[in-house]
Amino acid sequence: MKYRYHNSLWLGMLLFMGIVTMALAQEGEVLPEASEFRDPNTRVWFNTYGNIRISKRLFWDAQTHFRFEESTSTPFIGQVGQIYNRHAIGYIYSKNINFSLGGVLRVNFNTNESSDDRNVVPEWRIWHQYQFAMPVYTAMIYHRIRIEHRWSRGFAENSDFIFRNRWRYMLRAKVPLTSTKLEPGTVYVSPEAELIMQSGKEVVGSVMEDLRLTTTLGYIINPRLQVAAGLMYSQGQTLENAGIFNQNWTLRFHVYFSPDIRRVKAKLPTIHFGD
Amino acid sequence: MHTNSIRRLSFFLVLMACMSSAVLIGQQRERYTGPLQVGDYLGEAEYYYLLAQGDTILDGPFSLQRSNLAALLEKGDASFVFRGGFRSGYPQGAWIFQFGEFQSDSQTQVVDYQYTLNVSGIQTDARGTLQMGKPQGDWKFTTSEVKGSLVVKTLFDSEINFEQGIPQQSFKIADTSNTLVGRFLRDGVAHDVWELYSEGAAETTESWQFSEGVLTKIQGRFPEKDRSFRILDPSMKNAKIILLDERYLQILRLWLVPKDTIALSKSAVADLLTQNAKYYQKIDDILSQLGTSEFQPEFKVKVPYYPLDTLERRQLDTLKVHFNNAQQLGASLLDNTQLNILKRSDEEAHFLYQVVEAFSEQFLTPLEQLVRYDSQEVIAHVSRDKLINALWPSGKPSATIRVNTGLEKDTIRNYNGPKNGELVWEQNSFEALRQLAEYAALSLDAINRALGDKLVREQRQQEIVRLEEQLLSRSDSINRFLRSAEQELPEVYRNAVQNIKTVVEAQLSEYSSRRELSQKADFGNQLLQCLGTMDTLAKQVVALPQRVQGIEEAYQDAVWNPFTATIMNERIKKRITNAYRKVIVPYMLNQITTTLDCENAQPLSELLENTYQKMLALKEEETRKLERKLKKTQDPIEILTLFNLMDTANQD
Repeated sequence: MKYRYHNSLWLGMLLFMGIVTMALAQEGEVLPEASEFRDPNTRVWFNTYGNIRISKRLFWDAQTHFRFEESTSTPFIGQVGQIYNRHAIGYIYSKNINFSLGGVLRVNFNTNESSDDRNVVPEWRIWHQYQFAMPVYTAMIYHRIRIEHRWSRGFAENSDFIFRNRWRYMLRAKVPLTSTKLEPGTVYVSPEAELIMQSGKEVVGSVMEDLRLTTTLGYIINPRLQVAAGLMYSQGQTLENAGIFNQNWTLRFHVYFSPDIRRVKAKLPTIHFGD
Repeated sequence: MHTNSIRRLSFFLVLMACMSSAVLIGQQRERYTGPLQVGDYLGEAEYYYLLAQGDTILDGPFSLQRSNLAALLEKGDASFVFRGGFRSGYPQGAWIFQFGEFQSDSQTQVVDYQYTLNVSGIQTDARGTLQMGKPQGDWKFTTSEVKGSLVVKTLFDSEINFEQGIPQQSFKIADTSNTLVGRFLRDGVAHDVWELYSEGAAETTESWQFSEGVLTKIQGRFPEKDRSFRILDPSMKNAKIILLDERYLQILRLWLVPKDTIALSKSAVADLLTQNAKYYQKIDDILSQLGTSEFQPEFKVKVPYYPLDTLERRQLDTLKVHFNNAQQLGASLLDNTQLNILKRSDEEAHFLYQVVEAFSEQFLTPLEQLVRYDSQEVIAHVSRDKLINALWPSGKPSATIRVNTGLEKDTIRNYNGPKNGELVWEQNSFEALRQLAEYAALSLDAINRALGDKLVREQRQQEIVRLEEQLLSRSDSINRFLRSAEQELPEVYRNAVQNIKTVVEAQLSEYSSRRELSQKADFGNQLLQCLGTMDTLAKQVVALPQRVQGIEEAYQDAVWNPFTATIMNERIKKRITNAYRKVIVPYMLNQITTTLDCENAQPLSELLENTYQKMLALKEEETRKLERKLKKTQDPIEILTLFNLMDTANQD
């Protein structure tokens, strides 16, 4: 019985994939002969990351990103692309593990200079994240799994919201350069790679939404304030055609702050979550 | 009418009866029972007494006793029982005195409804009759050694027969080995031969030959060979009857000089008589406390009498004054440690020290003896020649003291005191002795003054030497310490350290520029204290970088950084640590570098320490207000005020 059940599961999955492939072949745009890479766009992101401690184990994750991209006349900072508000309540499981759950409001600006469509559309997300940190010698390595449920729509009038899921995994390291550990006054380098996969009815073939390769240099001003800047290369399939890839070069500037709004008394004992 | 007069008479009679009974009641004896202390003896007493004009007069039976079972069982008990009677304040009738020193083996037995306990020790028992406070009839003293409640040995035994306090006929005194038997005339005057028999000897071992109270001859084994001394001449012109007691023995000793005083000290007769006198004295002490008594074995003897006239008396008193002065001066000089050191290096001091020794030996020791004889009242019973001969057997000392000062070869040096030649003591008279004593006093006073100046100078000199040694060693240790420490110090600290060294050097040269000894001593003592403070301050400055570092480390909290997921140390209360590191410490170093002197060294040192302690304390305290105030100021004085440290900052 059990064996037969497994068999039927596999069979179902194969059938589903077959249908997807057929749909791709029938309804999507025609795949090119070879993958087509568009010319890279240049962008600048100014990102703020707030991590506001509200209790022993809870924090408020508050991020606001200002994303610019090139215009025909100006590279990188030519026009506003998105304004991005990401919030969540985080739970500190231990000093190396934490989880978050929250929402995103992204305001998308129409960057197609020739478009007559709407200039601004909102985009909504629910997201949850699982982050694992591990020390390796003097450095730290982080695994971040982020899952987002995303409602977006195009700039065209009357366009409907489409629903997609995003599956994100990021591997990042922070390597102190001027000290033996990450401590105030330390410059560190942080290489990271993030793969963003997506799924949903509208996603036909373009499952790799983005692959981001970034290197940043950071500086820890104090335990509650850090700054970082870096360059990111990314590529991903366009939603319209899985054979066509977007490419981007992005300058990123980050400010990290983590105030503690608890009363002095509540801060004690400081941090030993149970280790 | 008739009945009326009878009634009046009967009233009169009743009144008379009442009055006479009141008089009788007034004479009524009262009884007392309770604790009573007589001399050293505290015990339970029972006695009867009359009250007469507020005085308590003992009358009737009397007893005082004490024994303590607990003490006996514990470590031994001193018990006593006095039992007898009084009549109108005089001891009267049969008396018994017992003194016991007992231990017990704690073994008890029950005999006839009584617990009995064996004791061991010594018991003295005195019993006899008293009449108007004087012994009457036989008095017997016995001291026995007791073992297991049985008498095992008689240690002392004395039997004397009295008639109104005067010993009669013959007496017997014995101890463990000797027995003395003697006779009296009717008036208690010693007479005939007093003989001592010793255990195991066939004949008398010692005999004192009296002739109507005059001791003419002592004969005996002293102790190895037979000797006999002629003492007093019975045909003496001027004689006096005194009691045979310690004083009489002292007079005999003087008379025996120079024949043999030692003979008397070994005389068993004298020993027995002394022992006996002590026993009687003990009882007399007790009875005298309670009432009127003359409890003495009035053995009477005759001694020569050379009374002192008023002039001699005065001379003797003046002599005592001189002697006391001389005695004090001599003792203080001989005991002076400073002089004892000085005499080793100073020839003059050495010489004078020897002179003092000579005075002490040749003048003061005999004079002391003379004063003692006077207080024993024996002087009047010895001829002047005999007395002086006893004091100075080899002749009175010369006024010129000859001292051999040479340590290796003989170097004789003479000392002549003040009034040498004026004061003479050739004659054997009290006037001569007075002059001798005056000479000793004057000489010692002169020596004391001569040595005194030397000693003061020497003392100061030595103090200075000691002081300078301390000063040098202390400044050395400061310099040594700073030299080794300053290499690793930051610049500002080095400047402060440099100035400490400079100030120390300056103070030392200031000290050495002073010439006057007393000034030097005062300044040196202050400087020594100052150097102590400088030493402390130097150590504080050297320790300061580490302390500042320590404060920085102390003012940190571990914080979890969510972006690195690591724990980081966060500096806290930065305004406070900055105020310390950037304002107060530089300020204090600057003070040390620019204004340091002996006056402000102590306050600066205290401020350094107090600030550090304050910093340690502030970490744990609620400091939000303080931090807010610190925001507005960079002024060290203001900051120290905010830290509540200004009372010790001592700013001008």
